Amino acid sequence: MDKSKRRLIGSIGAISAGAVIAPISSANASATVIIRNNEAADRKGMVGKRYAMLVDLRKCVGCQACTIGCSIENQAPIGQFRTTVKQYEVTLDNGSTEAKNVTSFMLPRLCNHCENPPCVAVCPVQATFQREDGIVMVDNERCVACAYCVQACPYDARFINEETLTADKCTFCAHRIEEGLLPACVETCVGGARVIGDIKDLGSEISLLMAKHRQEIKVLKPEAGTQPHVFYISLDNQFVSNVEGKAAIYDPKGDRA
Amino acid sequence: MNITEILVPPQALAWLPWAVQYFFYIGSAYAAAILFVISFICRSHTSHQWRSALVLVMAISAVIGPIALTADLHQPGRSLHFFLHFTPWSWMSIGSLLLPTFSGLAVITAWLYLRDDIAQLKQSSNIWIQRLSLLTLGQWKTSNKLMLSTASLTGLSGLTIALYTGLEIAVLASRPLWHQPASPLLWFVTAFIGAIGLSMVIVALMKSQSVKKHERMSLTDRKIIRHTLILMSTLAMVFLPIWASNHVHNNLFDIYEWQLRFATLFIGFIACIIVGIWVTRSTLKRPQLLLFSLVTLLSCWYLRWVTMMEVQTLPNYDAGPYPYSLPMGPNGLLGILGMLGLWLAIATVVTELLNVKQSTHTRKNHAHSHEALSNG
Repeated sequence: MDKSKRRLIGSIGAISAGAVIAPISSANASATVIIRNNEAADRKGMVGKRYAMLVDLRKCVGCQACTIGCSIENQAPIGQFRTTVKQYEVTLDNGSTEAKNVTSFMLPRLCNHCENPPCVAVCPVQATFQREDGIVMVDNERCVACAYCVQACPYDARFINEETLTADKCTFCAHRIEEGLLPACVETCVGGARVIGDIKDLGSEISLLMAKHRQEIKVLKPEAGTQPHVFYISLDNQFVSNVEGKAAIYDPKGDRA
Repeated sequence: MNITEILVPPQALAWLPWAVQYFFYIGSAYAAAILFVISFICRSHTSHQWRSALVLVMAISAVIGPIALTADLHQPGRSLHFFLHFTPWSWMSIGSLLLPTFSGLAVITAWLYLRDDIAQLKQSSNIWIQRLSLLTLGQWKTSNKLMLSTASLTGLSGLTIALYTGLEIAVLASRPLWHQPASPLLWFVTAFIGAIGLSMVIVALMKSQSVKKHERMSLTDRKIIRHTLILMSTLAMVFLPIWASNHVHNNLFDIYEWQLRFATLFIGFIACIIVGIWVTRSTLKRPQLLLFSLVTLLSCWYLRWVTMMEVQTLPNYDAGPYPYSLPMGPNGLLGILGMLGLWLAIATVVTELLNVKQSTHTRKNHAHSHEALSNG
C-alpha cells in the first residue's frame, strides 16, 4: 500500500461509531412508525434474521468483478447497474511530500437495505416492501413505475429498468441467499471485500467483523436517518455524505445520457 | 484533499418531461378554478367571455394534465393498481383519488356554466351541431346558487390538488431543493400565471364578432388579471431565491448554468408584471393576447422545468452534475409539443362551437356593458 493511500485510510474515524452501530439495534432507534408494506405472508422473507453487508474498502481493488457478476446474475440492462464500484482520483493538498502522490479511491455502491427505507414509504401501490430479514424488494408485477421510490432514495440505488419498465434495485440476491448461496457480488469479489450475513447471529462472520472493527465502521449519509445496512470499513469522511470534487466527464447519448 | 470523479455512472432522470407537463396543466387547471370562483362571485362586474375562458382552461387542463401524468408512468397500463392497492400514507396514492375528483368536478362546472351557450347550438344550420345542444341534458335553468356551490366545490378540490402535488414532491427528503415549504409555494403561485396565459389563448381563439359587446372582457376582468400577475410574479421572485438557497451541498448561485436559469426566470417574472400593468391599458387584440400568453406561459412552464427537471441533474451524492439532453421523441420534445397540440386542438374545437352560437341570452352584466372594452 502506498503512503498516500495509507494517509487516506488514516483519516477515518471522526464520525462516532455509535451513530453507525445504532442501526443494528434499530428496533427502538426511531420513534417514528416505519413503513415496511410486508403484511402479506409471501413478503416475510427469513423471519428472525437481519441481513447486512460489510464492505472492507482496504480490500477493494476496483476490478468491477462484482459489477459484472451482478449484471450476469440479475440481467440488468447494459448501462444500468444494481451494484457498481465508483472510482475517484485523490490527491492530498496539505503541503506534505505525500501531496504529490495520486491514489485511487474505490467505493462499491448498492442498495443499503435501510432499516428506515424512504423508498418503501412513498410507494403508492405498496409494490416495494421490506421483508422481516431487512431485504428491500420490489414486486415488479405490481409496480406502476412512477419512479417515486427512485426519487426518494438518497443513495441513487434505484433505477427504472429499461427492459422491464419497472423499478429495479439490488436485492442482496435474495433468491441465492434463500438457497444457501452468496450474492453474486460477494461470490465474485476477488479481494473478499464484501461480506454478507445475519447481524442478529452474533457468531456470524459479519457480526464478528463488525465487533472487531466497531470503531472504524461507517455508513453513507448517516444524517439522512435511513439507517443503512451496508457498512464500510475505511470509508474516508470526505466520502460519507457528499463528494466535493471535480465532476466526471460524461458523453451524453440522447435518452441514455 | 482533492477528489476527481473517474468512474461514476450518471443516474438517469427518473421523472421525465411528462411530469413537467402534468404540473403545468394541472396547476393551470386549479388556478383557473380558483380564479373562476372569484370571477363568478363578482359576476356583475366580470364578463362572460373571461369566465368562459376560465372554465374552459380549468376543464381542458384538468383532462390534459392526467394524460401527461399517466404518460410519466413507465407502466401506464397499470394505473388501475393505484385503486386496487390504495396506500393512504403515500401522497401519490392520495392524489389518485383527489385527481379524478377534481377533473370530474372541473368538467361538471364548465358544463354547468356553459349550458346556456350549448343550448344556443340548436340554432345552428348544421344538423350535427344542432344535436350537440342536447348536451345540456334538459331545458332546466342553472341557478346561480347551484353554479356557485359547484364552482366553490371545484375550487376547494383544486386546492387539494395544489396541496397533494406540492407535498408529494416536498416530502422527498433525498433532495433538499424539493424538501422545503418554498417548493410547493413556488408551484402554487406560478400556477396562476399559467392559468392566465392559457385563458388569454382561449380569449384569442374566440371570434370577437361572435362575442356580444357586453360579454367582452371587462375592466374588472383586466384588473383581476393585473392584480394576479403582479402579486404572483412578485411572490415567485421572493420564493425563488429562498428555494435556491436551500441546496445544502453547494451554492447554486455559483454555478454558471444555474445563474442563467435564475436570470431567465427573473426576466420572465418581471415580464409578467409588465404584462399585468399593460393589460389594463392595451387593446386586447389577437397579437397582444398571444404575446401576453407567450410571456406568461413560458414563465410558468420554465419554472417547472427548472424546479423539476434541472433539479434531477444535481446528484444526491457525487460531485456531478448528471447530464441531460432533451430527447426529440415522445419522452421529450415531441411529448411536450404533443400535449400542447392536444390542448390547443380541444380548445379550438370548443371555442369554435361557442363561436357558432347566435347568442340571444342576456346576462346580469348587461347593465355593466359600459365597462366592456373593445377587444377588436
